[in-house]
Amino acid sequence: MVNSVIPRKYQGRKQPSPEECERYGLQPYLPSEPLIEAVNLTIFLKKRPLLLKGDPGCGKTRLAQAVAYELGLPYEPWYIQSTTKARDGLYTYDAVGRLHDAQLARFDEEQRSKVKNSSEYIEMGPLGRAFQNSQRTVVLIDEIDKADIDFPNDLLQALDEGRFTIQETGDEIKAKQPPIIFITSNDEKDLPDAFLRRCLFHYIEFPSESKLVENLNAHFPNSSENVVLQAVLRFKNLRRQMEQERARTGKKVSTSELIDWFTLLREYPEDEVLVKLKGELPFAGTLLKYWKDYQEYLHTPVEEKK
Amino acid sequence: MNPAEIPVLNLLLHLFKRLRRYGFPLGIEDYMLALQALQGGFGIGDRKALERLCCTLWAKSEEETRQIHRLLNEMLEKPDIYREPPPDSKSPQPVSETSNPPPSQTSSAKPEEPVVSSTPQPVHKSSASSKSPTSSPEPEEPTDEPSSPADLFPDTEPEQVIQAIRSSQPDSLEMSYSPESEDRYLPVTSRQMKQSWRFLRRRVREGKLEELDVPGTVDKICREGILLEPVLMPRYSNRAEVVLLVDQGGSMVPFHHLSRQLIDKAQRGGNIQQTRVYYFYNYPEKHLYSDPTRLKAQLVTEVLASIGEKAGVLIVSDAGAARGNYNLDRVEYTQKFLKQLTESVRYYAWLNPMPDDSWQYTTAGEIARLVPMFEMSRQGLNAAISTLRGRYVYWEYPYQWML
Repeated sequence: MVNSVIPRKYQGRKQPSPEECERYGLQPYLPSEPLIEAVNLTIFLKKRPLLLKGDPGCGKTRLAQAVAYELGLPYEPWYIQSTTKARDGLYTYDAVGRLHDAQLARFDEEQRSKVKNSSEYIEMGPLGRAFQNSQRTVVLIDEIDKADIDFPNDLLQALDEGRFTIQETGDEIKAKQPPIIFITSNDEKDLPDAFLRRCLFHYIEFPSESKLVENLNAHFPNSSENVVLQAVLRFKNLRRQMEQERARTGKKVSTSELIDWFTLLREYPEDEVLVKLKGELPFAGTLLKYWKDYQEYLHTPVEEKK
Repeated sequence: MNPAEIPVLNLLLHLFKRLRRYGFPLGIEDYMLALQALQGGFGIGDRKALERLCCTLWAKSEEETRQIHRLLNEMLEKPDIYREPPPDSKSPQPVSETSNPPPSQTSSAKPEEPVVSSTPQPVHKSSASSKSPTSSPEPEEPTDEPSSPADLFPDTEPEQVIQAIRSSQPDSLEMSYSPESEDRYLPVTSRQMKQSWRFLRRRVREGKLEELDVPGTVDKICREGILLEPVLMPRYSNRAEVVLLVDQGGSMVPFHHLSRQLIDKAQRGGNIQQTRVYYFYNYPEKHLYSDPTRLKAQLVTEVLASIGEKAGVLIVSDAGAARGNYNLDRVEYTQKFLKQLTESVRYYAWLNPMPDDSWQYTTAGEIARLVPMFEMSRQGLNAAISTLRGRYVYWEYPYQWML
């Protein structure tokens, strides 16, 4: 309990070992300094969720898990779909199951007592579980912009006051510890102002070259320094070219694609990879997703060849 | 609290007030949160740390982040603004007692707003503001000038809209334009557009079976004597489709800002499943265009055929009201198009950026008799959208001047 009083500082240093990665599907995560600060602010202020925006593939979703891992806290992801209702995150009530049991209860004494107790049919959602947990829980609400526009507003009360009522039983669930909530959005829809007002906000910038090198080294601990550097340079060039040509619209290559790309590259011997990187973009399928991109970016620009 | 930190708090308070004036939806609570964070050690050290704190707390988008960055730059370039308390606000006192802000702080922030909007030279102000950051005539608002509104509102289009409407209303000469209060004088703000679009709903059950169909289940129990399996049905989702036909160019030029906002909010702000946009010039003749520059043409008949029966079609055009004359050709061509439209589409409405009292004796007045036409105001937009939902009550003389 003492731990939860003092805000624990997330530092972004503790990375999972290769065995843990294997077993739990974790991945190393290297946050930038401003991001670490925003996370700590979220943890410190307790009241407000952190809204994360940024290019697709920049690590919005993965942050929550990384924070939970480093601080050793429970983690509750909640992936939003277009039909997700706000209540699904709090709890679901299995009315059908109860009805079904009620039918059978005629013949079964045990069933009868179960049917009478409606709380047997309540199942907590990710937020509900986080509220009930006596440890502070890291909650991820992923891609909130996918849901119906009423969704964020429906969540307000639960987030604001840290409590909600189960209508079927009349029980009130109160957060034992304020959860640490991360919300990601791809900006496909605007979020309502009332909701935005209650969020902290951080825009994840595209990482610098050195950060990318670090990132690759963390993911692939035993790769040759030179290959990593060359790959990042080639990648960065491609990215820069895309940035210049399409400014703020259109899809640009992302960090996650870099990692996929490098996974392929490292299958080959070092000298071969270095040769490949000088020529036509190798394994372009991991980076270029449109036919137009192939035409424009498959070859390095002429001036860079010299 | 350490007195050495007071300049920081002062700066924070000023930044907060300025942001509020720019329409950031911030309240006292947000300010208190910043103080709390400062006490916790966040944002202390250098300017960047402070900026990061403010951005995390107060910005909600990338643009707003940049806005805060710029404002902070300005304020740091002119330290006197925040070191010496301006005459109308007693900032050192409120910030020193961080636990509970005295009410004077709020009341001092509020009266400033009218000062801004009462500056009477609307047009000169925005054009002059971009050049000289040094000359600042008003001592209370010295930073207003350099915070070039051109950056906040990258074009002067809102101004154009306001002027175009104003010219038709000679009696409202005192209507003034200032960048901060732009929203107040636009006939309908982008936020209102977003809200109005939300009403366009056509709920259809589709997707996987998730909800219990109570009447269906009861019915089944009655038939079978016992419940074997409940009847399920999919959840509701919004299937509203909208087609926007936008008049582009000519007399509509000053209203491009409005129509762009309208399109943007329909596509992003609402929950409309599909939004399609076509452009035309004055009236659609044979072709509609899928791009605002009117290069990619499509036959009107083809477009109309592709519109689903339940989609709503919204025409955005001044219908000649901006020119203020009567053009029989235009009426006839529009009539022809409307006939085509009504034959293939059930829900349609016309949104006119000119106020409805300016339509009389113009082409628009004539066209308004043929189609449900509404001015582009909050009420007008809402009326147009409920028309698209099929709630229009036909009446021969919807506007008084038609009688």
